[in-house]
Amino acid sequence: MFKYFTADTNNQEEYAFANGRIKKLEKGLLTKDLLDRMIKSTDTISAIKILMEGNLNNYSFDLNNPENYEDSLNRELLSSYNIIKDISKVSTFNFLYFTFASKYDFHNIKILIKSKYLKEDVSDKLISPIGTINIKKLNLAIIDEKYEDLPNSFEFLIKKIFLEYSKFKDPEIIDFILDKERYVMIFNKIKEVEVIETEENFLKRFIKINIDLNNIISSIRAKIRGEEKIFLKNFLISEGDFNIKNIVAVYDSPLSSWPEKLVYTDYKNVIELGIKYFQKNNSLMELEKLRDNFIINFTKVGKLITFGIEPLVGFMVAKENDIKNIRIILSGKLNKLLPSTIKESVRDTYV
Amino acid sequence: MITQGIVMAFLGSAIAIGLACSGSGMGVGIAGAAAEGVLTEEPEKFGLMLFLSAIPGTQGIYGLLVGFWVLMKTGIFAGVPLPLTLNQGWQIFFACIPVGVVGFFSGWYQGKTAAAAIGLVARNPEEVGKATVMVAMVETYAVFSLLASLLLFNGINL
Repeated sequence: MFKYFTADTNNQEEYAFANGRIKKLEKGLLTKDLLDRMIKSTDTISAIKILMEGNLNNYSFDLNNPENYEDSLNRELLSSYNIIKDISKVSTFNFLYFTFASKYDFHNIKILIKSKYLKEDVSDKLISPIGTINIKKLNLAIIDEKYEDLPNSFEFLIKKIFLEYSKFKDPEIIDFILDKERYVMIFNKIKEVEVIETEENFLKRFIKINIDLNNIISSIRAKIRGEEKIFLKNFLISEGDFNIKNIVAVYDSPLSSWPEKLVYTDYKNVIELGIKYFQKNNSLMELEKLRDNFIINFTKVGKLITFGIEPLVGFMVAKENDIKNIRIILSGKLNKLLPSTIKESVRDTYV
Repeated sequence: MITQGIVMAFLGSAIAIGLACSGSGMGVGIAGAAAEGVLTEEPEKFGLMLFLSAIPGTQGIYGLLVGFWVLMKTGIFAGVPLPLTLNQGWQIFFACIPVGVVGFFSGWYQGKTAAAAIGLVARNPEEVGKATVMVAMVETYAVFSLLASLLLFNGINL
């Protein structure tokens, strides 16, 4: 009783504040109906006007230059991350910002390392302002190999990539290593903080789902690239729920037989429909969409919870998902794609 | 004269006021934190947020009412405490328990319900009526406990 009492009361004001703020922001998330109207609109400007109508959200676009929509979307994403950063200042949620924003650290590392090896200039547009590590520090570490002020885990990671790249000389290796190391780092971060057991389960499951889906997509990509099984073993992430031995076991069989062999998993539909679409259209677009839908549907539980980490995770996933959907619709409109073609790529919504 | 009975009456009054006000304090604290979260994004909703976050405060009022009534009826306010027997003191003490204990838990949990209601109203302001009904349902039990304490106290021959 006492344990329950203290565990529940220690952080409840922090939860209440964070959840109250998020519930207000959930109002600005996009509905399926609104996306459908945007898809059916005649052009980019009409789609943007539908998005901004009613002042329900904070998106702001320059209607004279609709092709610059990326700037607006990046601004909105940055503002959402700043809110999460603000919420993460309290001890209960200090791992939350890292869980989400570290993705952009890894993205920046990827860009900087590739530019170093491929001797290409990095455009500022490719570097994300979101992230837990200052871009100047990353630049110093990667380009000049000066690791002052850089967390040890990132120093170790960058040195590891240098080493692996010198062995394989393949830029795609960088992607595989970074994807793997990101999840390992997030898991270690979660272990450092004290969270209530039920939340820990939700968080772990959320990350494990991401790992499993990442493993599945990486394996399919490796299979398409014609990689050897030994290559796959090195880059699969073992922290997921889905035993990587199962993927390794089916790896040598034809891609078309994978759904049948992995039918007992939670990801049966993702694998089956994703592979079917790939065989028909030679594109992994549907697989990526199914992955995103799986994740968004898992986090929808956050809408029903008043106190907890779930609404915060749900909001961040939903916001990124919304921005992805807007990007799909607006780029489709700019490229004069048919509404039915755009609709095929649009992800499920959170609300 | 301070008898053992009057000491028990003091204790009862302290429990009624102390526990009920603690529950309310926790409840208002939780609801207030949720309201502050909403107000960070939407300061114009202050009136609505104030209303919802103040509801868990009523348990403290009930506790204070019973506690003061005990102090009044036992002559403590007048400065002439009644020479209560230990038996009477225990009766007063137990009469104070419902409002104190129920006030503590209902205030705390009403705070959580109010925070949930604040979340609902933040998304759909037009649902304020339904949200208030849900919060008020927790209040029912605080009212029952107030009634129980008053009836129990009323049954004591002083």
